[in-house]
Amino acid sequence: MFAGIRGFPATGVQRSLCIVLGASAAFAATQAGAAEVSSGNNEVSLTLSGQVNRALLWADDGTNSRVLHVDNDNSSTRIRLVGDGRLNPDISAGAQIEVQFESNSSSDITIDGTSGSPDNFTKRKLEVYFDHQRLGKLWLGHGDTASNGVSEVDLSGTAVVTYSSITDMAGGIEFGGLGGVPINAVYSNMDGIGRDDRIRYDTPSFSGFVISVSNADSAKYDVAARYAGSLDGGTRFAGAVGYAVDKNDSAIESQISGSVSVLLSSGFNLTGAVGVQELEGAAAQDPAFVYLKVGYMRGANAFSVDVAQADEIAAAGVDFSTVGAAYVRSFENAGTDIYIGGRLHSLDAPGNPDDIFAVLAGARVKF
Amino acid sequence: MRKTFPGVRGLRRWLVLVWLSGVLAACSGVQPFAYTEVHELPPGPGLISGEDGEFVLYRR
Repeated sequence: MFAGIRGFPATGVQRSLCIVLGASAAFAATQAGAAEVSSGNNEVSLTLSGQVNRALLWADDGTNSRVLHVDNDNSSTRIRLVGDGRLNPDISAGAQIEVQFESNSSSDITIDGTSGSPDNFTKRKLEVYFDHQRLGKLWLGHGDTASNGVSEVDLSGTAVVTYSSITDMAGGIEFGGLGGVPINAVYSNMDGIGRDDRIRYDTPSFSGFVISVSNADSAKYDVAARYAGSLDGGTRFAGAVGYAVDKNDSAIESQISGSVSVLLSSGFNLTGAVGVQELEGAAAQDPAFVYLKVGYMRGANAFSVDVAQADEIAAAGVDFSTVGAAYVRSFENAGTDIYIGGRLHSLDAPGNPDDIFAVLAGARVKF
Repeated sequence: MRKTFPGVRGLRRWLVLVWLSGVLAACSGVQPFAYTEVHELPPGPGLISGEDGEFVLYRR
């Protein structure tokens, strides 16, 4: 499934997580002295990090209006453990466990408060890697495929509340009221093949330029190219493009997508993303999307307005458009962002369903 | 927007274009920087963990 994220059984993950965290804490406690008297030889390490991102989502589908308590799927609540060590002067190796816990994900909650989010940790990354200074990096396990993120390059500073994956804000709200067509059925940013069980290779960076390839479960293949560079004056540029094939997807044969973002030294920024899919056989649909964001960042404040359109994602002749605005205030030294974003969604489809209006306001605290 | 899938030949053109962009960037004084993707934990300090943004459970 393109850009899919699958959960896995609660008991297994929770048990694994408890074991890992418990063992880590116990190990850290026994080694506390060693850490405090570290000689500076940081050749092996085990680190814990994470964040909580909660928000209020107000949605109006034209029939009902409601305030919902959600986990902001633009940047979900999660924890991460990373073990890293050096095998020799050229090669480092590591392992990463990253899991998320979304109670009422903003991407799938419906107007009546029903959420498909599992009440348990779900996997994001369960992987090992080997990083060679001259030969590149190799990953094995569940994690980002080569093309994951190619549609989502964004330097605006407002991605915590809005970026090209606009369904993260209120994707489960349905056109035409409950039982209608949800936003996430008519829009996709075609972001590669997401995270999966895969093997992935990244070339070393050539002046900021990296090519990645991966092979994931069920005959999925992808290739991507990325670039990130900055000028002396502070202007930054980043971009990515990816091509993905999923032989196991019965509908989508292949997909190409990409995005670019530029942040000028003045604080003005521009972000764009596009993608197209080729469907199996002689399907009448011709799915495509385009996204454009204009923003301004000054100090700890970032503003943006954006528009997006997706054609024939759900069916031929069904077109979707959306316009939004966002504001983010960052407290960088405290690892905290507060934000608010609003978005008006329209669907051009038989029956002319009412527009959907949604506002997401909340805070992300990285602990 | 281009709606016809470009195929392998088109993909090669994309990659050549991106490669040339990288070469030009390298020759024009642009410096690479570490871009953090939006779906990753943001870089920088944490509220409790401080400057590094992560707790070091073990290090030697």
